[in-house]
Amino acid sequence: MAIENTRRSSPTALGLTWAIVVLPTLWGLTYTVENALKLFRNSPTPVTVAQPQTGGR
Amino acid sequence: MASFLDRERSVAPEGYSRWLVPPAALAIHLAIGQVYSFSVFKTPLIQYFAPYVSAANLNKDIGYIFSVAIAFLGISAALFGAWLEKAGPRRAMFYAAICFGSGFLVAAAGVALHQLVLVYLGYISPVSTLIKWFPDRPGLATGLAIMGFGGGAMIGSPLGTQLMAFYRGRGEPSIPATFVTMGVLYFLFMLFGVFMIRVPREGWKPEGWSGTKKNNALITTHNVNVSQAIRTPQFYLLWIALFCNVTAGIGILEDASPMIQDFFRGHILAVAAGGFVGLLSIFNMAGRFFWASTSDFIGRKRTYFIFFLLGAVLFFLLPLTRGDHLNSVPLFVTLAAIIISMYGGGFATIPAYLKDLFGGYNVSAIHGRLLTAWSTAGIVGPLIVNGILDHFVANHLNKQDAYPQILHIMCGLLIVGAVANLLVTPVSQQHWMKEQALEPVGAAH
Repeated sequence: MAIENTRRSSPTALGLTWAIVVLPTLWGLTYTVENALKLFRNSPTPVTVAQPQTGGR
Repeated sequence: MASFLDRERSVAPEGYSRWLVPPAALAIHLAIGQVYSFSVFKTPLIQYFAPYVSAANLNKDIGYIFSVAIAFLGISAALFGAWLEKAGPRRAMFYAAICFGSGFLVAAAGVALHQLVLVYLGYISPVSTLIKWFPDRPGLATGLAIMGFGGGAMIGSPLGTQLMAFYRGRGEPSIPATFVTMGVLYFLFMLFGVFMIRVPREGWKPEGWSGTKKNNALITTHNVNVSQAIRTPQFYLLWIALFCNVTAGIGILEDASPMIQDFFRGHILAVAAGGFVGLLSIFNMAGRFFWASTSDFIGRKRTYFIFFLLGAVLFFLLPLTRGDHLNSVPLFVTLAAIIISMYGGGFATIPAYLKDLFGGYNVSAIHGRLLTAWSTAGIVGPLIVNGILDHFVANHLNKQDAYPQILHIMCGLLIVGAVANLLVTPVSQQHWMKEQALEPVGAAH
């Protein structure tokens, strides 16, 4: 039950607090998504023969 | 300063919003999750140390930095989990910040240990605190925190890359300068978490939540302390479940970039493969939040069943997507992304699963002990993957044919995990703590 004279956390404090963690995350997410999109810029064509190969790990 | 770190000083005043606590947890997890972006330093470090270290051991020696860091993370969680219960989250997070920040400085000074022993306290302290703030939604709480750990690499990777480029451009030694800068930045970021963290006051409950709702036989209203918990079969069943889930996920994560290049040889090159790794990190992070939150509604046991059964099917199907079969990059990426979301989901759901079974009283310490499953999987997973790949390479066999074997072994491991999960039952009454006046929520521990 809420008490009349209880000091509640302000919405501004909530917003600022979340912004401190959300903004760096969004920066990292943007960077990662931009890189991830490169994956779909190469559309594969059917492969005919798969040669035995070493290395490439 | 010492008193500020005490548990008593971090008790939230009346009216304090519990939604101020997740950012504190995220600050810690986003910082220590940087450990997963270590690979951005690998090539620069190899080039940096090449004149000083034998070329034959260079890759292995640099690789040890990551292995030692991960091993210490798991060990510190197991060793200090019980201490954390007494000391409180703020003190543990402060020490974690000091160790993490100074670890970078030590690394900058040329010492191989990238992070130090107490760092992992940062992992479990916000998790247990959030569980107390969100007794009505423990899955959401743990998902929020552990999501940050998955997202840490998303920030750490571009930050490390761009700082190195910046210092290189100024003609300064890029790696030491980058380590010092990151050490300071992460220390400050973690201090934000230290200042913001609060534990709920004694007897606190969310408004409108009675705390008596119990619609699942596995959710206990009793508490089990850590020394009793590790004597229960439930602890070892969950250990096996987590181990199987993590080992299988690492089967993809550990080899993601070369795997997609081998699956679609000649069509997916290194740059695009890097994009695939990035995409996996997004799903790893999102899965932590999605699956842990979902578990609040469908239950932890069902959620783990989805991981194991759906995961086994997807692991079985994954080899069929490769270039000489279905030849579908989108299908391969979709299946791998779902698998990795469940890998992350397994991490994020396990604290809530523990809380359901053992109560909230000692959940940090129990979680710390259980994370040895992660350390073990971190060794076993790469051993399986690299052992089979090395065998194929050494015998001049087609490397593409190694992947079905690897992925089907992981499929089998998930079936083992499903059986372990199936056997999980409520903890026997003989293990309950006697003092049932203890609340599973609030500042009780």
